[in-house]
Amino acid sequence: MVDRRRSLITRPRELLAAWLVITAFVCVTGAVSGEYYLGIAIAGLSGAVLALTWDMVAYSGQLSLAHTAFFGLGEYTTAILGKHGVDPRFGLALGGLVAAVAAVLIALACLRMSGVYFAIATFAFASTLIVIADALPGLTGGTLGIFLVNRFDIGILNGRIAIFAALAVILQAAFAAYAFLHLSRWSLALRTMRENEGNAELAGVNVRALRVVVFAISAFFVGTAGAVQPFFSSFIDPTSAFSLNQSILPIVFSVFGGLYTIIGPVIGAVVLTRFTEYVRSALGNANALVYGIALMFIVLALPDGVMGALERITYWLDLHRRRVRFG
Amino acid sequence: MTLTLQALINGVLLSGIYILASSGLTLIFGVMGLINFAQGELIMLGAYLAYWAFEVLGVNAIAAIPVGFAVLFAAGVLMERTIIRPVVGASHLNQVLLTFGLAIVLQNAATLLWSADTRRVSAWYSEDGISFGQFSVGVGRLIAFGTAIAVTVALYFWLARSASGRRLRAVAQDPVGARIVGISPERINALTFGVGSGLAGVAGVLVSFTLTVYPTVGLPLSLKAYAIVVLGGLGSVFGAVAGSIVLGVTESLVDIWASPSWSQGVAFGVLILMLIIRPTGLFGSRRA
Repeated sequence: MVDRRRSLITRPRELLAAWLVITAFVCVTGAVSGEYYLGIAIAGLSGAVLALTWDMVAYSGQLSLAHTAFFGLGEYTTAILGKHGVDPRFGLALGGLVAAVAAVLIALACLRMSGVYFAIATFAFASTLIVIADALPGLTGGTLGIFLVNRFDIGILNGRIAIFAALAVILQAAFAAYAFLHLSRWSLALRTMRENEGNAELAGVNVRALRVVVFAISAFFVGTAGAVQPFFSSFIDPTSAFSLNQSILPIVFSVFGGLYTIIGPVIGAVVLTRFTEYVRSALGNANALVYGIALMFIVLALPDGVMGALERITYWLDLHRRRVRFG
Repeated sequence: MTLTLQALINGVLLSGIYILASSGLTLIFGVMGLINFAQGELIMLGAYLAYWAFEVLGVNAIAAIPVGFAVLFAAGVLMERTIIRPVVGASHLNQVLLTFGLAIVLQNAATLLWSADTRRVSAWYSEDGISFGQFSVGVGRLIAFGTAIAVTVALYFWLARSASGRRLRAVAQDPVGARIVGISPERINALTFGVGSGLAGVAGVLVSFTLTVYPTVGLPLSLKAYAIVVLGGLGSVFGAVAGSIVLGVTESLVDIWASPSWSQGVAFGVLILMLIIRPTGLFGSRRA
């Protein structure tokens, strides 16, 4: 099928401009909001990191359901360090590495799989971690979980502002990595891999190596974002750290915002986090129901996301304008 | 030795519910190429149906088995016609999201309507046991296993011998070829989703008197069902039966040799191992 719509935001300059707008929006809203709204902003930022890095893996043609595992590994790294009297801020350096190593192992084990099988395998990996964390109470506190008492301070920033700042930096770094993949010659290899693995191999792309690398980069950022989380929630247990929801949310954000667009997943995360928070305060217990209905609605009504809908509108406007001019 | 044998018996009986949970999933995948992430919630609906029939109408939960099949069959056909059809043949991503959204809706609707309380059908068949020499088995589990075997045999003969079963297999093999010879893949898809849901309904009725009923009861069962269908081969009903028995027996052996908390991880350990060694499963075809 020939797609004559022009993709929005593809040139480096447009990408940078759009990114600056989003960053400014996030920073301003973060700075002026009170304690409660800062909490929502923090949830939005870690959602954005999850979504951006999930989209990065999807860009290489793999459907990951393991992002909750990487996030949870980061969380546990910080919490376990804190429990043993080590400064838990080391978790920020270590959490990402732990997640990246786990990602390399999974990716190596799943080298021959694609599509549904990769999704189920990554899903199984995340579910296994819940069982393992439950069964090793000495290390993880088992089902009772771990309480983290340390406060998070960087220089003059402390508490939630510091958490917000750290996540904002992680998001910028993840964005830089993804933008590099998008704008460098690697993007051609990755897109070919996604559309047709055989063709990519014929063209000399080392598909397997590239898959492992992209998966590991993605996991690194998720793990680092996860390592910040316990400072915010101050408690973790296996079911919250490895909750399936954390694997599904980034997919929803990306699909809502627009797959493979870099900006889309971040917009999706920021918008939908606020939306769910609003629904939560308005409807109480029914909020998850609304969330499920919204999920089905997105798939049925906006199959290519907000960015796709915008592209369709600009294409339509374009056509319309031309018709007027020539007619 | 006695303990191990008893664990083997328990494991085989435990696999009854697994067989029904996974055969619906594998049937739907085999024909429609769709992984239904809401299969566990269909089981949950079947379980509540049997529970309310027992509590309010005083219907014997065993008598509710055909009712569970019929009601979930109708619900399945309705769901296929309304929300599932647009994503048949769409990307896996959209299928995963849609069926997962459906799962969230059903789970939370159940919580709002019936609260998160744990419920149970308590009748003689859910409490009593029968002893054979040194071994004892629960009547409920025996009924569950018997039902699962009977339903699977019926499913086999329906697929192998009946005209509609043949049409269904034709669509599973090649939807385009089936359409050329005059079979409507859309109608077969509706039928398949109906039967797959009906199987989940029967599994749910069995859950109501062998386990407990609560809004998220389907989640652990469906997680195991994914492991089973990958173990047996996606799309193979025979594989689902074999995979269920392997998982049930392994779980109860780990239960007595290690600890109950590790036995919950068996499914995923087996799954990961299987995916690494032979991703298409024991009896899987090269489809998907």
